[in-house]
Amino acid sequence: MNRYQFEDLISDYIENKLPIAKRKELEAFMEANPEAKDQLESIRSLMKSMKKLPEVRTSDQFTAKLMKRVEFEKNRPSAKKYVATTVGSKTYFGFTPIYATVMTALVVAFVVVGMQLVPKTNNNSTVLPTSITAETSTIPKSTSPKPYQNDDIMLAEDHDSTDVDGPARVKSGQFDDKIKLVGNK
Amino acid sequence: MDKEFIYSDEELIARFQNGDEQAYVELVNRYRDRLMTFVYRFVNDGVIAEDIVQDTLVKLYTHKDYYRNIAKFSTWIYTIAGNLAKTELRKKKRRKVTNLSEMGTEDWEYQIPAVERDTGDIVQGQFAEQQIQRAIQSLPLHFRTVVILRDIQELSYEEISKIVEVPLGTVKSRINRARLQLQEMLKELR
Repeated sequence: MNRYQFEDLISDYIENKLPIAKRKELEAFMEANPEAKDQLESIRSLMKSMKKLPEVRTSDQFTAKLMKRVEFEKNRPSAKKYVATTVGSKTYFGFTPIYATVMTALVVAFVVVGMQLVPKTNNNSTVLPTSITAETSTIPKSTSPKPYQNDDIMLAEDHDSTDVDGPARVKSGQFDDKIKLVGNK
Repeated sequence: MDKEFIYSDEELIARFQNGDEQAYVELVNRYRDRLMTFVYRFVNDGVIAEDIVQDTLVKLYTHKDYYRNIAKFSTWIYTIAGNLAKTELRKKKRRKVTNLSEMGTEDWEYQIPAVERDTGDIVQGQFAEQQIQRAIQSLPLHFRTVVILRDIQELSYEEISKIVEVPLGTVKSRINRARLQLQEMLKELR
């Protein structure tokens, strides 16, 4: 046993918490080192002195002052609010109902906004800013499908063969004659 | 230190939690001087110590529902008092930084009047008390807390471990180291 090992065991020795073998080892060390024994006795004496230190008492006005403060705390608006909101009320995952509602609303809002921000295309490529795509795009604009216009629709309707009132319509008399001629051959 | 009471501390706090204000008064009467001794030995100032004990007992009133019957009431209330005392010491330390240059080294921590050693047993006892108190004050906070709780308040190692929230082995080691340091500082007292 060396000095440090001895010092580590002093309290356990004084408080009778050492196994017998260790206790004897320590006593043998003290026999061989009287200054170690002095140190141990000094600590034992210190512990006794500390136990004898007088109890420090509160002043005579202590309780009156305390009760005044307690009354103040009782009547404080925030204290009343605290009592009203927490005492006897349930909590959800550690939150009071108000906080739980607010937190839930925030989470839902976050999810909804997040879904709005997600691009709707299935293309997995990274979406570049419009300024970059405009500069680098090699696809001619003409190749893109031309959207229908109202005029085109009108034109198609004008040339429809089923249109009985169209402008290219032959007169009924001439038309009937041609049919007759074919039939005569 | 332990006296026989009709109700245990835990029963009293349970009654208080159910609205019995008389139980609170009983707890105050049981703990005010015990806490005062602990805090005074910790901060070495009677006025500040009494304020801290007041704060602790007000907190007991306002936060009574925070106590859960899984720990001893004494460890809970000592934890509150210890935390408040540590906070106060940190504040005091910050305040002191601005005044250090104006004070002598001896004035930094304590204002203990000079007392002659050989004026009788009582005075000698007071002198010894002051020397011990002075030595305790010069211990680091984590040593100071445990040695006060063990050697002055006579709490068990298990209770101290719960109060300071460190493992039992660490508590034992700290108490032993604190006693060695105190013995070194108080060598000339013997």
